[in-house]
Formats: sequence, structure tokens, C-alpha cells
Amino acid sequence: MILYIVRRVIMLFPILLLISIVSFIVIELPPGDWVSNYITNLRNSGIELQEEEAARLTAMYGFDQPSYVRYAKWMQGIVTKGDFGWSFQWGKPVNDILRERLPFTILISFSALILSWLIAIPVGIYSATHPYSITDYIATILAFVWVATPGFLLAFVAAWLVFHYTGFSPLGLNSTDFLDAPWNTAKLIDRIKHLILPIVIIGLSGTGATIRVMRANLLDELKKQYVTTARSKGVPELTILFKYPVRIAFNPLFSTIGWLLPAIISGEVIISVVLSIPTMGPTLLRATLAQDMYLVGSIVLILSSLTVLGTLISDIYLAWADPRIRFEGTGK
Amino acid sequence: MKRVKLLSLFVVLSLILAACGGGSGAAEESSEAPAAAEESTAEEAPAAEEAPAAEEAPAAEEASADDGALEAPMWVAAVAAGDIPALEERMPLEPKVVGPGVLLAEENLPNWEAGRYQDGSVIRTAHSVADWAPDVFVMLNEPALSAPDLGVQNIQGNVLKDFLVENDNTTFTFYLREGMKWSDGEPVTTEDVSFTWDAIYGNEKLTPGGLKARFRVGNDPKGDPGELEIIDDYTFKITYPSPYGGFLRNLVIEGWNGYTELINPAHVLKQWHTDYTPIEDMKAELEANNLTDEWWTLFGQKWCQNWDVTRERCTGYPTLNPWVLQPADSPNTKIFERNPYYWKVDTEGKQLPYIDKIISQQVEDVEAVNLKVLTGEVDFLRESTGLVKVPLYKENEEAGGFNTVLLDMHVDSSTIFLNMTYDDPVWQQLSQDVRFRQALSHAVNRDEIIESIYYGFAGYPVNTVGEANSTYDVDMANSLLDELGMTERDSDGFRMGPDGNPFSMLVEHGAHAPDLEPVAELLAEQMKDVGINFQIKRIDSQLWGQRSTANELQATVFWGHDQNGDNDRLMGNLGLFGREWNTWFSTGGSEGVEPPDWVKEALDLNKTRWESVAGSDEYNTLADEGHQWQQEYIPQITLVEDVKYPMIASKKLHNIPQGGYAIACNFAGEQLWYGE
Amino acid sequence: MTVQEQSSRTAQELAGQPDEGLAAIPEEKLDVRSERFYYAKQWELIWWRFRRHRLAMISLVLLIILYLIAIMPGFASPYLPQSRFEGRQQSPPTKVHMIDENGGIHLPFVYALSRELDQKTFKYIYTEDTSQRYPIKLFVKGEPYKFWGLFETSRHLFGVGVDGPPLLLFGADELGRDILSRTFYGSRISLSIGFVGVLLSFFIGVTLGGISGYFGGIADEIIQRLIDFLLSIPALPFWMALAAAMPRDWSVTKTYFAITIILSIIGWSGLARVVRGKLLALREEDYALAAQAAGAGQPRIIFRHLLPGFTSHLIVSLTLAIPGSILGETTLSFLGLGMQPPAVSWGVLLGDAQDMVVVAQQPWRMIPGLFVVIAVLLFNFVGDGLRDAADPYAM
Repeated sequence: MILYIVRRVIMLFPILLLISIVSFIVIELPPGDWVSNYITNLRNSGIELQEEEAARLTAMYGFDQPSYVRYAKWMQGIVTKGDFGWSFQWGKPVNDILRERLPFTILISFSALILSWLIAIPVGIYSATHPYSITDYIATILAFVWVATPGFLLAFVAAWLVFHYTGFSPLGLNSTDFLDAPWNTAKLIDRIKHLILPIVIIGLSGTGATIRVMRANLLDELKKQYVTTARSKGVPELTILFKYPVRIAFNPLFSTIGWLLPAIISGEVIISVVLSIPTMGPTLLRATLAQDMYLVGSIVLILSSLTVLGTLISDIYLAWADPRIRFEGTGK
Repeated sequence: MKRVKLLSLFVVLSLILAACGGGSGAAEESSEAPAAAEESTAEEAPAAEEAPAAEEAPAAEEASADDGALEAPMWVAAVAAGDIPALEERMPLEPKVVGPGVLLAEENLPNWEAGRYQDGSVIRTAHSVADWAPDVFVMLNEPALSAPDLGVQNIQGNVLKDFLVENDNTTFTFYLREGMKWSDGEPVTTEDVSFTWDAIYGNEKLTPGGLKARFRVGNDPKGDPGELEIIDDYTFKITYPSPYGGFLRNLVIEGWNGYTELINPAHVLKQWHTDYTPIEDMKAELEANNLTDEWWTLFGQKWCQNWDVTRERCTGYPTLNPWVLQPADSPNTKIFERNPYYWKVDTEGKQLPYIDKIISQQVEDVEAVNLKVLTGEVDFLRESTGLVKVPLYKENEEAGGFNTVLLDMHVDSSTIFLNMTYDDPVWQQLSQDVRFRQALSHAVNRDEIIESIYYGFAGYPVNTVGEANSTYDVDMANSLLDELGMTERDSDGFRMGPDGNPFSMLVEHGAHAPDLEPVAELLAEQMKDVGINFQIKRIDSQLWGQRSTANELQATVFWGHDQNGDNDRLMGNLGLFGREWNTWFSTGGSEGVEPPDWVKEALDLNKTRWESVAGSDEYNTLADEGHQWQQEYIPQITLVEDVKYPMIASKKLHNIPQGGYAIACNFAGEQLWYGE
Repeated sequence: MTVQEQSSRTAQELAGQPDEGLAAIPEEKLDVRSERFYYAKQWELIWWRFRRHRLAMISLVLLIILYLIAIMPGFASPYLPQSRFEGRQQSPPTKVHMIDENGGIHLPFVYALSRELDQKTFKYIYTEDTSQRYPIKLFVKGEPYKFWGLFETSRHLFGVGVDGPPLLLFGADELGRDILSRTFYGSRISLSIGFVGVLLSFFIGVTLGGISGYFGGIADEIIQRLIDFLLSIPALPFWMALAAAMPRDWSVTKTYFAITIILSIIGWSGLARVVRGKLLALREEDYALAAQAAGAGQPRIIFRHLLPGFTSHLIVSLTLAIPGSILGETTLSFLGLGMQPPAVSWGVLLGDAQDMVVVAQQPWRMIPGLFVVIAVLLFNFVGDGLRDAADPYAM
């Protein structure tokens, strides 16, 4: 087991290196680069930059160098100094942007995740133990409606309804009046009011699917012989339920937990965009569209590190939760 | 809808500014302000009438009572605390005096009022592009010279106090305002000019291609360059070998330029320039930025040109703008605070701007801005509004405490461009025939476009296309197309080309503005009625730019630069209706394709106009000739003109114009003030 | 019902009395039903149980209707998707009347409308001209369209005919086009594209996941690292690059389809991981060992013995994946990367409606969104029914 973990951890590095290289290539694939993007934007604004200015910017940002040189420099900065490079779009170091947005993103993502599981797991268990009851039907239908509604539409309509009925605009992090205000109770309350809607919508958007997966897995598990045996022996139902089937039913959920953070970050881009929440999602989206490559590269690198790490953690969890999964001596 | 998609969030800049406005030629007395003091006496009279407004200040307003001080309450306090010098030491000897008709023509703002300060007053607005607040940029931007309404007629001093033109438009002497200070308190002198000219334009690393076209005769990239001569601390001279009457025009808002074209804070920039600072002294900073000896990269990261002023990296950078960027604790917020050294006063001698702060919140989606408008969380917004939302704005005006002001848009929206040099002989022959362009123009049902896309707030393109060619006349279009030999039709009813092969035109657009996609969609349907296979495709705006540059765009829809103003945008349009001709022109004939005579005619006209003085008889005659040329050749098919643009302004804001370009109100931001 | 009661019921079922499954067999076959039940083919069992699932049955019927519309939108809708009605831009849904001015009752009919702009609110005010009634007719002659590209016809399921005022049951968009017709035409693309992609990635996912989970070792290691890697490719720039790389003369639909296929080729990783996890657990089960002992080949063990053990999970994944592709299309349209006009799809229509003014003042323009929700719901309900039905012996 320990050997397995060590081996997996060592394997992380070449994978991450490969990922960083491929991401870099993919980021460079779309036509143009940041300078051409910037010049196009200014030109569209009526600010005519002449070719000299373009040449100056190109040289200044090092776009006249081949991409492997730029990659090597970027990597060198990360490895030696923890410096993720320069964001052209924001005109400041990528590290600053990450520092500003990452903690907040994690706060939103985890709140949403916790909300989602707090609802989904009990409902899933109830649905599975009471199949075809009225409650199961209602839970099923509600879960499906959440699954079925495009996130942006939901966010859009919800934001409008909140405004329409309360006169409050639930967009952004704070009302504009508090933007320049020092932190105090009123600002905190305003901030919390602004966070409710995004957390609820991001959280609930994944809930439907989780309920369904939970219900399906638990139903599968409840049909197993050992459950029957336990029942026939008179073990209390709740004990039976939580002793094993529920734990097993969690496995497929946990086997994807490693991807949850990256998924919430990249998957809820749209909701964050509609509700104007400055998380990593919209930052990544903007950076991608503007070809702000070191910023995109850094976010992608961080997300993929989380993914790879998450995969490892969920594999280890699975081994712990389900002793039947053996690591040593795989293959027959 | 076709509201700005995310993709175009980055290009939203689009609607913003494109093409700076031409003035409406306000027939205003030009007492050409050499001595600003004179200006002030001349205009004191009308302002005095407005003065009572200042006395109405209700005592109830906490700490905001305007007691007649000539500076904002926050500066009174700061001076008392010894944080900044007294007002007299902060202002130039001759500040620019803002009164009626100075920033906006009187016909657009007939009731100019001298304002009053309100302690803690804030304009709240929003932006949707990362680190770029276009509404605020225009409010902040100060060109070297200026003219009312963003025009080019009646050019006055601005950052530069005055100018003197001699020797048949070859010698230009400029006077700085003595005692003018950067926002960090350092004096502005001709050293800042010579630094710009020699250390920036004269440096190969910083300006690889040499002097800009702006400083060359006829605004021609291959024209003869000007020469700078420093006379004294506040006087400098730029000399050209031949007449360049349009030079002054090139120092006003043209192309959204600012004073940074001529003046940059040398005292700050020297520390990153090897002419002044040995590279060894920069080593630490270079290394911190992962650089070795690329000092010019470091310089570029520190240098803020006029359009950079809203960027976070320019926080604390010395400017001459009415407000300066402050550090903000939230990553999506930009806070601009009044500049203690700002060099404009109103007719009562009060230092501008009237309003303490501008706060712009970054939203991820333009729709979010609009919801904030409805809740009254926005005091001023022009950039992200849309005609489609006017009914919604109207419905919420009272609750939100704002007015929806319908003003003019500064560009001609949605124009069809045929790239007549696209690499296809049949296409070239066809598109270069004016009858083809006339036929397309007649095939456009402009009434439907005006009703569907512009909700009635637009008019026929009488200036650019002319009345005769902008009528909806399917028969005429059909007969013109028949004349061109496009008589055969395929099974779908589409016309074959004159060579008998299937004909289609690929119209790729970058969705640069929200109206372009629905317009294109409508055009495709209308063109179908005359048998033209008008295939529309939205592509990434970057890809669009690349294809355009590489002469790979066959046709597109884009906004046409304003042709009816003073502003000449032939160059902006030439790249779209004849990419190879544009290359020929910009390379001085060494590359590209030589344009036909009718295009050369316009290029000559344009050059002559650049050599003439804006507003002169010669200039105006040339402008008229330019319009006639447009109508005769229809180089691009403008769909509509005079598109209206909604601007949101708090009901309490004063000095909001009633006419003219919406964006001109931004430009005159320093004279906005809050009343009741 | 308490947990106890519930458990006793479940226990009884689990004890091997397949009463509910039998209940699905028609009454007249009662005498043979237990025999039939035990000898029934698997698909028959599935079908019996599926029929019992009322919600799933209704959903299936509705889904079939939706697909019928998608197959012949020209017939189902009164107009062509591009037809524009002058003076009807952003018009609200046409009111259908049954009772006329004088209280007379008729079959459904509509009135002609005129409109003017209220100069204060900038809203249009519509006035009905009650002088003439225009009845809504079935199988009416309208605009000609090509049926499956084969022959031209002008019969529409319903409408008011060519002389009547526009019948805009879902209202009109900004160019004055009938949203109902556009929604119907849009279903053609929305309900078909992505289907192929989902099937493709499903196939790859199950196969590679199966190999990885059952064989383990080097194969597992390679496939797992490949998954890590694929999951980490940034989707958005990749999508943008693909969109730019497609041949220019391809139509919008073709480009989108091609990209969908390419993405599905790399989009199998999530499923593969789940399959692997399941297989890792199942291959240790007694019956797998038994099959192995009995000399069954490995593919046989995987696909005949192990895979059916978690079919239900696969079905849930699949029924979430197909509607996922429908939702994905709308999301990409939101980002401006999906389908685009002049193609008509639900994503394009919904993209049209992303405006506060639509939510606030023209809610009918969000009806295509309702269709997305409904279609996705139906898929889910059907999938749910299938899931429960796939294990006929279980309960």
C-alpha cells in the first residue's frame, strides 16, 4: 500500500510536466497571440496602433521568441521561484491574481459542494430506501429539473426574480455602495447577501446528478445478498443501511471527488459569469479568450495538479473504504 | 438580442469608442484662448446667472455644504493637515477655464451650470472587460489640444496652453502651462516633451519603427518627419519640411489619443531607461520580473500611455487626468480619486472636477451591469447599454433614480464591406464594378433593419450612400445584377456568377458589436430575395483580424467609421474594402496592389485634407468632395446613419447633454456634478 | 411507512417473490405467468418492468412525439424558420380566442393585430381588429417547404392559412420570426447532434474502463495516466483552436458536428474511471471467480458476467450524458462558441434570449429553454425507468 502511494506520487511529476507542455501547446493553438489580441481590441476601440507599436509590444512581451524558449522560462520561474509569470491582460504577476482569487474560489466551491452533498446524500438515501414513494417521485422530479435546466438560464432568471421581488441585485460581491467602504458589519452582511444566490445555484446544479447516482448505487447495493442475510438475522434496518451499503454507495461519488474542485471551477464558469462572481472560472475564461497565456497556463496547471492529486486521494480512499480493491499484485 | 457574447466581452470595446467623433461644427465664437485668463472674463457673465444654484445647497447635507471654497472639501482638509500644498501652488498660473461651450457645444448643452462640490460624491459605474474601464478611460483622457464635442473645429489649448502656427503650416510652436504639475506634484516642463521625443520615439528598442505617422507630413507613415526644438522650459517647436495643416487636428482626440503622445513624466520614467540609468541599477527589478537585460520590457511594463490609465498597473503613475487610479482592496473594483493637481477650473475659479471619486465595478457579463442600472446602483453608464433595453430602462427610471438619455452614436453602425482585392478574379471584377455595390445597396430593406435592429432609432445613410442609392428597390437591384451578367440561376434560385459558375459571397464577421450578428442574419435573407448567396459566418474576432490583415476576408459586416463628421476615416475603411490597396498605400507602393484611379483620387483628397487646417474653407470644401466621392463610388455599403445610443445618468447629475455624441458626455466628465 | 415496515416489505421482495414483476403480465396469462416469467428473455423482462413505470412510459411517449416533430418540423410548424413578419418584431404570443366579441362560441380563432409604439414607455401596444375572425385550421395550406428534401409540399399540421394574420403561438423574436416554428426546426439539430458523440465516447469509455479495471497492471497504469492527462487538457482553448482549424467553407452545422465528434473521442475518461472502479470491486466477487474457474475467456467474463452487474449505473450515466450534450450545446452558444445563425438550434434560440429585457418583458422568448428542460427531463425519466427495469430479477 505504502509502496503503491509512493509510486503514484513519483508518477505525478512526469504527468504534470507532460500536462504543462500539452496545455502550453493547446493554448498556443488558436490563431494570434496576446499582442495581436490587444492590438485588435484597441483598434476596435478606435485607437489605431501603428505597426511600430505592434513590433514594440511583440518584442517587449517576448513573443518574437520561439514558444519552447518561452515555455522553458515560464517553467524555470515556477520551479525555482514559484513565480507563475506575468499576466498581460491584467498587467501584473499571475501570482497576484491567484492570490486574489483562489481563496475566494475555494470558499465558494466548498460551500457549494457542502450544500450540494447536505441535500443530495440524505435525499438519495431516502429515495433508495423508499423507491416509488411520493417523496421519491417528488425528489426525482426536482432533482431532474435541476439537472435539466441550463445553468446560465437558471442563474439569469433567478437573479431577475430576486431583483423583481426584493429590489436587490444579487450580482457581484458587493453592492456598488460598499465597494469603497472599509470592512464593517454592514459590508459583511451585504457580502453574505450577495453570496447566497451563487452558492445555492452552483451547489444545486450538481445536486440532481448526485441524488440520482446515490440512489442508483444504493439500490444496487440493497439488493445484495449480504443485506438480505443481515435482515434475516434481525439487524436493525438503519444499522444495515449505514454499516455497509451506504458506504459502498459512496464509492462512485468518492472516485470522482478528485475532480470536483476542478469541475466546480471550470464547470460553473457560466454561473459565475452570469452572477459576476470573480472566481477562477471567469478569470480562466477571460484569459483564454484573450490568450493571456501564462495566466491560462498557470490556472490549467493548478487545476490539473488538483485533478491528478484528487485522483490519487480518491484511489487511496477507495482502497481504504473497499478492502476488496487490492493494489498490490494487480493483474492475474 | 445578440447581446454581446462572452467572446466579445473582450471586444466590447467595440462599441465604445471606434472612431472619434467629428464635431458638429458648433458655430461658436472662437476667441482662441491664448490667455486663459481672457477666456474666463469673457465667460463669467453667463455663468454668474447660474450661480444661484450653488446657494441652494441644503444645510441638511452632512459636511457637504459648498461654502464657496475654490477646492473640494477633501482638499481643504488635506491642505489644513499639511498633506498637500495650497491650491495656488497646485494650479498652473493659467488654468484652463471650463464654461459654456468649452467641453460640449452650447447647442448640445444649452444650460451649462457651474457646479458645486459635495464631500464624498461618487460616480458609480461598471465595466465588463478585464482591467479596462472604457467609460472611465474617456472621462479621464486628456488630449494635448481639444475642441468642443470631440470635434476638430475650433481647436483650443488643453494640456498645452496654446499654440502658434507659422510659415504656411510648417512651424508649430506650443506653450505649456507654467506651474502645471503631474498628479504626484512634480512640475510639467519641456523636459517631459524632449524625453518623449528623444528617449522614447528616438529609441530603437522602444519605437522600433521610428516616428509615428502623426508626426509626419500629411499623417502619412512614409511622410517627412517633424523636428522638435526646445525653446525654454515651457515652449517647444515642431517643424515640418512642408505644410501639414492637419497636425493640430492630430493632437486633439483623433484616434483617442492623449497628451502622452507628446508629454510623458520623465522624472519617473528615467529610472527604467538606459539613457539615464545604468542597467546595473535596474538589475534587481529586472530579475524580479524574470528578465535579464531586456530593460525595454521593464520600461514597457512601467510606462502608461493614455489608454493605459485605467489599468491596475498604472496605480500611482503620475498623470494629468482629472481623476487618478487608487489602490482597491477588491480585485474587481477600480477606484479613481480626484487629482489634487488638476489644471482646469470653472468660470467661478473652482478647481475641477466637481466629483470626488469614480468607482467602477468589473462585471463578468454586460447583463449584470444592466441589472445594476435598474436597482440604481449605477450613476453613469454608456458603454454597456443597449437600444433593446430602452423599454426596460424606462420602466425602472423612477425606482432606480436615473434618466435614459438618447444621444448619438459616434460610429455608423453595421456596414457591408466587400474586400475588392480578395484573391478571386471573378469576385474582383464584380465587386470593383460600382453597379454591383449599388445593386447590393438597393437590395437592403433599410426600413426593416431600422425597425428590427435599431427600434426606429436610426436613419438612412444619406451622407455616405446618398439618398438615391439607399432606397429599397428590388427591381433595380435585379436589373443591375442582370446587367452584370448574373442572369443564370441555380436550383435554389441563387444567381450564378458572370462566368457561369455558382456564386456566393462568404461574409465573415467577428460579432464585434451586438447588432452585427442580427444585421448579418437579416441581410442574408434580404439578399436571398435578389438571388445573392450571402453566406454569413461568425468567427472569433481575433481570427477575423488575422484574416482581414492577410487579405483573406471576402466580405464582412463591421461598423463604418463616421464619414459625415470632420473626421476622416478613409484609412480605417480602406483596409476592409481593399486590403491590398491599403498595403500598397501603407508601404509606399512597395507591396500590395496599386489601387485603381478612383481610389487614388480619394487617397489624394485625404492627403490634401490632412495638409489643410481643420475648419478652414479649404478643409470644408475637401470634406464635401469627400462625401461626394463616397456617394459616387459607395466603397462600402453603409446601412444606417444617426443611430441613437442610450446613456444612463443619475437624475441628480447635472451638465448632462441633450444632444450630440453620447461619448462626448464622458469626455466632459469633469464638469458633471451632483445637485438635487 | 416506517423504516421497519418498509424493510419487511423489501425483505420479502428480496426473498425471491417477484410479485411486482409478475403483476406486469396481462391478466389472461395468469396461469402461465410464473412460467413465462422464469423463461422470459431479458428484453421482455425489461419491457414488462418498464411499462410499470408510469412516469417513464409517459415520458417515452412524449419523447417520441418530440422526435416526430424533429423528423418533420416543416409539417409540424405553421411557418418556415426564416419567415419574418413585418411589424411583429418581439411580438408576444398571439391570443387564441374561442369566444367572439358578442359572446358567440367558435372553434379556436385569432384576430388580426395592429401595433403602435408608446412614446413614453417605448413599448409596443397591440390592438386586436375584431371585425374578422381567422379560424385555426388543421392540415392547412401555407408556405411551401421540402419534405425530407424529397418533394415540395405546403401542408402544415395547423395554421390560419396564407391569408390570415400571423399565428405566433410562442410569440416572435427580434426579427419577427415565429418562435414556435423555430423551436420545432431547432429540435432537428438539438435532438440529433451530440447523440453520436455520446455513443462514441460511451463505447470507448466502457471498453477502456473495462480493460483497465479487469486486467489491471501495466494496462491499467497506462489508461489511468491517459485519463489524468485527458482530463487536464484545457477544453476552452482546445475548442477555440478546433473551431479555427475547421475548413472555412464548411457550414456552421458541419463544423459543430465535427468538433463534437473530436471532443467525444477525448471525452470518455470520466465514464472509464467509473467502470474501472466498479470492475475492480466486482472481479473479486465469487461469480467472477467461478466463471474464471469454469474456464471462461476474459472478454466473456468482462462483458457477460461483470458488465451486467452494473448496467444500471451505466444506464444512469448514459441517460445523463445524452441530455448533457443537449445542455452542452446551449452552454456553448452562451459562450458564443456553439452553433450560430443562420442555423437554428435550441442553443441558438436560447442565445437570443440572454438579455435582461427578455426575462423582464418578453418571457415568451425563453420558451425554447423550456423545450430544453423538457427534453432533458424526458430523457432522464426514461433512463430512470430503464434503470429500474434493467434488473428484472432483483426486486
